[in-house]
Amino acid sequence: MMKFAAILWKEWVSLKPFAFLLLALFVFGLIFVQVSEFIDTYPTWDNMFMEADAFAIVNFILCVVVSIGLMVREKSEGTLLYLDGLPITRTSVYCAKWLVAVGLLITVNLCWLLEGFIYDQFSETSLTEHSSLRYYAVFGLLENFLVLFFVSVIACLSFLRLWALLVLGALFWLVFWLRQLQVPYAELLNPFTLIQPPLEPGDPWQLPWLQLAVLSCVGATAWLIGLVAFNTRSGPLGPSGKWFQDSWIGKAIGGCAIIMIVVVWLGLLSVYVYFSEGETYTGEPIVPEVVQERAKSVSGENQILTDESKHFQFLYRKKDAAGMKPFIAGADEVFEKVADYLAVSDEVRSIQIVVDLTSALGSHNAGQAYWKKIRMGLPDKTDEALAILGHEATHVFIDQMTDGRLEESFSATRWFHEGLASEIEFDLFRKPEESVDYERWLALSSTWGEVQFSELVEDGLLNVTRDKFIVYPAGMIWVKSLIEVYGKEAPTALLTAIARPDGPRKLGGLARWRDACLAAGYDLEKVRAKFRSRLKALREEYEETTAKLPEVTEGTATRQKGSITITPTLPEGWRNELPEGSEMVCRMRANPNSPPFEWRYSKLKKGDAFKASALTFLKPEMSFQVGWKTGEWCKQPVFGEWVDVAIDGEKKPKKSSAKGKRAQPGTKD
Amino acid sequence: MTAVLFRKEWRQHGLWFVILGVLTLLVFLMIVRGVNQDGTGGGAFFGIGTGMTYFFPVVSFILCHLLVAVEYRNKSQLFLEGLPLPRWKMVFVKAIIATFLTCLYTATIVLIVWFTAGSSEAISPRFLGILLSTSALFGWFVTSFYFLVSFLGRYRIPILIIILFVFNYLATSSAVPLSDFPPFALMQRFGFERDIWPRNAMMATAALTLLFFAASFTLALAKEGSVSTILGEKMSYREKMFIGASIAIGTMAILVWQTPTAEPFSIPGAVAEERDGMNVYVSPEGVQETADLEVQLASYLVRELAEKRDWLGIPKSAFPPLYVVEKTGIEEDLIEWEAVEGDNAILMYADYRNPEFNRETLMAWSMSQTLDSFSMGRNGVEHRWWIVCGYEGLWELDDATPERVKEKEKRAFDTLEEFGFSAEQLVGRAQYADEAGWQEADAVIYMGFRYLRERFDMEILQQFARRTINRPVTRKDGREVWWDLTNPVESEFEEAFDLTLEEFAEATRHYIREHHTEEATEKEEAE
Repeated sequence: MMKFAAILWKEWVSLKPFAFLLLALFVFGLIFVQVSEFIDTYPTWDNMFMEADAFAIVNFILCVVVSIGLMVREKSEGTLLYLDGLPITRTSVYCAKWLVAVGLLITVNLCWLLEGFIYDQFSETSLTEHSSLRYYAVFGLLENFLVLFFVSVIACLSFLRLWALLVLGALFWLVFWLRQLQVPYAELLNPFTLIQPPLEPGDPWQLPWLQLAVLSCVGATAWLIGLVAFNTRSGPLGPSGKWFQDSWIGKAIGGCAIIMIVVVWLGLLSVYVYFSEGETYTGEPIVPEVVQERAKSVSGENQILTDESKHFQFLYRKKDAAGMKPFIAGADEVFEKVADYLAVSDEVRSIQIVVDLTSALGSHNAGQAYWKKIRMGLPDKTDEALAILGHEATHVFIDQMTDGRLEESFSATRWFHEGLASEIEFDLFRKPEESVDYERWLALSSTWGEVQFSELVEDGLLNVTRDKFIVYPAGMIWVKSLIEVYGKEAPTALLTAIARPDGPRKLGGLARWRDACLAAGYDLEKVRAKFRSRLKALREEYEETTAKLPEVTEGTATRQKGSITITPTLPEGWRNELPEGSEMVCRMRANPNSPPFEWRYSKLKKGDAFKASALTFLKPEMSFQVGWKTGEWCKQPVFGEWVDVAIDGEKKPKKSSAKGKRAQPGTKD
Repeated sequence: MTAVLFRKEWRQHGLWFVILGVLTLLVFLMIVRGVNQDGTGGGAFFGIGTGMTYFFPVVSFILCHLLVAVEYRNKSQLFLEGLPLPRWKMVFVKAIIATFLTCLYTATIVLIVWFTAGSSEAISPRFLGILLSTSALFGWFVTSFYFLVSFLGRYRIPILIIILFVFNYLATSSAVPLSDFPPFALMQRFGFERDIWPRNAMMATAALTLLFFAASFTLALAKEGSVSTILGEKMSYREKMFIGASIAIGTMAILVWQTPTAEPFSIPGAVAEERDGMNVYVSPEGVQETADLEVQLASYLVRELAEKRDWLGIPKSAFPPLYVVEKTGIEEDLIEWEAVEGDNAILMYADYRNPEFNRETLMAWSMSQTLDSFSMGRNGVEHRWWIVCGYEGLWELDDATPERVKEKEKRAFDTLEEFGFSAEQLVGRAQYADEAGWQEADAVIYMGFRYLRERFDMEILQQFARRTINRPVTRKDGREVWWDLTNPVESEFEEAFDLTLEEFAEATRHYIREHHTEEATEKEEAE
């Protein structure tokens, strides 16, 4: 025992610099909160439990720092031979190293938890759903379980030396790929989803026993493999290490490994950023394969041809040649009309836009625009093709007129991009009655909940609460309101104001539009008022139909026979007056952070319920969103709000909205 | 002798250069395919731009690591220094090789992608020229930067992490348009801008590249190369941890200074009133023939607010302007509020043409909102908000009609009967308001403050307000919390009125009942 204590002490001394790092982080964290927060409005629920992802990532990084050299440094520095000379087994050394590393990390985690607990006491209000001690216990348990898991796995992989980073990255990719393919139980392999607090404070926080069991098995196996590897005379790659260093093949493989490490981790980083920012909120799943089948060859009918008009250069396939003739003939007129509408400068008028009709397009897109390039399909009808060209050309002009300034804060400006493009498309290139579809879409959506301007300027928020495509009709109606208040030149004036050289950059949300209107000499509030009155008028106009399409805001979820059944709460007799061809669709997600590729979709099944495989929903809670496909009345599916439910749980009474209440400041909506 | 140096580099790293080149090409092809996988990438050359920005720095780093850092780490430069050739020539050969390979890699990538995807891209000689020159120049810039950094030896990784953090901060959290500046401007429209040469960005990037190479030479030759030799030593575990902690702490320290930019705010065409440093703007919903109503409202608000501000002893400069925007169709209270980034203005919406609208309510609510905003929410915390609500009630009903006052009294009585009123409910206002309704809770606290006004001098009420709710807060930090903890509202109240909160609650209950009885008696008499 004394020997083991001695080796523990030796490890503690060896890891003192790491302990200093942890201490420095902790102490600075304390100071940081003091100088940047009001600690009496700093509840643990918001800053710790709801930030569980961040805590898991921080723990992972700290585990990598401590574990990657924990076992192998003795060999690298030649001190393993000295340890071998002592009357202790390598197993003891391995255990001691593991215990000290884990002990340090658990200590700092507990300190952070205690800090959070103290702030929580300060932050108590009469309405606080107190984070019970059970919450702290569960969070602490899961967080520290992750420490054990990460240290075991990384220490095991560390015997692969440089390759460890590659294998670790590959493991991440594997889990990501399995999740993307919606492979059953794949979520259980993702340790970063282990800590998931209940959807609302006060709900019971249940331990994810199944995931704990799976990760325990993986962690224990890694721990044992690490132990065996540490007990081998010179480590698993010992004999081959020299070969790697000396032979040119070894060097080549080593070189590849270095670059692949970078590629793998950069890829992971980009995927993380991609799914944690804007794209997390996309309304439709990201399709992993090419969305539209691109021609397999460029010979025969698929041969790519080029043609040119005054303002465009076209790339198209030979098989589309017949349809291209009228399209090319009408294209320059489209350019001129849009340019006139936006009163663009001669400089912008002189550009030539490339129109690529050969490439694949993103899901649900009729066309896409990039700086001076448009990608679009070629519909059968020339008028339709020219309308799409007009829409996309508007995007190009907006970018040219503002020198890409709208892209700087795309979350705040996407709606205007699409709204103005839609307005020009319908105003110049379509018949007036064609915009009815957009109006109905917006009417139904705003009947369920007013489309607020403050929502439009926060694209991420809009996508979470509604359907991301609603920016098309809502943006169009807003632009119509702008024109009604300030005239047809108003959109151009706003764009010019945004592009002014001395204007502020990267403004987001409402600030972007307050600044633009101010610079253009417009009153934003007048336009907002007009927008509201237009929405009201639309609601009244289509009230007869929209009243028949109820929004689903409540329901239950049950797990039975390998599937999840969602039973939406519907009003009595809801079927009686439905417009012809109407049907309900539902999308489901395991938790609010689930990326769209993990969502499941279902149509209404027998017994007025939606169904999906239960293997995707392994946690006690989930969310669903019901939408209407109304057939001819409106071609777009219109989705209601996301509903959070406990699987097999009691139906929760819907909490009353704080709207209009002024219990505390800031709740006056 | 120079040729010998070239041969030496080739023999030492030739295999790596080839592997690096092949892998770079493969990864670029993967990126080009990857970014276009879901059909939203915009074209093959967009993928190259992405690769140049995010992946090529890695290639350059490895290249310069091989050419420079490895030489110093293995101390093999000492052997080279023993050769009969000037030191600058050794560095020059390495720089030439790095520059040549960078150009070779970037040009190969562009040409191969052009060859493979050329049929689906409209390519003109000018477009190809722009692609080749901008990618090569960007590559040279990156290589020159890493060439310099490689001479920093063991400190190069921490320095790179810091630079990465700074640029990430500038790109995502600051108003600096990083992509407008060289060398990033070269990649801003890469693959899409086919007509215009980014001349300014190219010249500036070239100048920066030369500057970095010059700095590399300076560092390599300083003190006969001893500086770079010392920097090339390996870092100890202790040093790694220390630098790691320093970077983490430095990162957090910078975040402390990050404050949101105040939003530019104004409403053109609004009726404006200014009095004694107080500004009020009122804007009608539509275009009105006359603005009489707005003028009246603005003038009333500016007078009242300036008076209240001075009564509370709030500095003029700390008091934000008030904007009132007409909004029809607001349900229930006819008044709403919206946040303005930076809290440099108070924005209220009101259906002020509605016959049921009450301007005293708007004034009182605006005052409360201002008190909350200019204190960065400190007056809005629960244990303080009841004080604001109390004064708000007095301000709202000071000049109100007897009917409105009676209505408030009745509401307070009904609330008291149903939900009671205690000191705990007073400071736990959020729950009280949640259970009884916020207007009901407001009615009770109004009666409480009316009792105080009747029993004590107005001066005492003023002193109490000045000690509790008039502190402007300009920074979010712990000072206000500690001030709160050392000056609890309960003791401030007791000191001001010589009443405990329990006694105050008790007195309020009596006062409410008393007034209800009076009212009932009056009613009976009238009947």
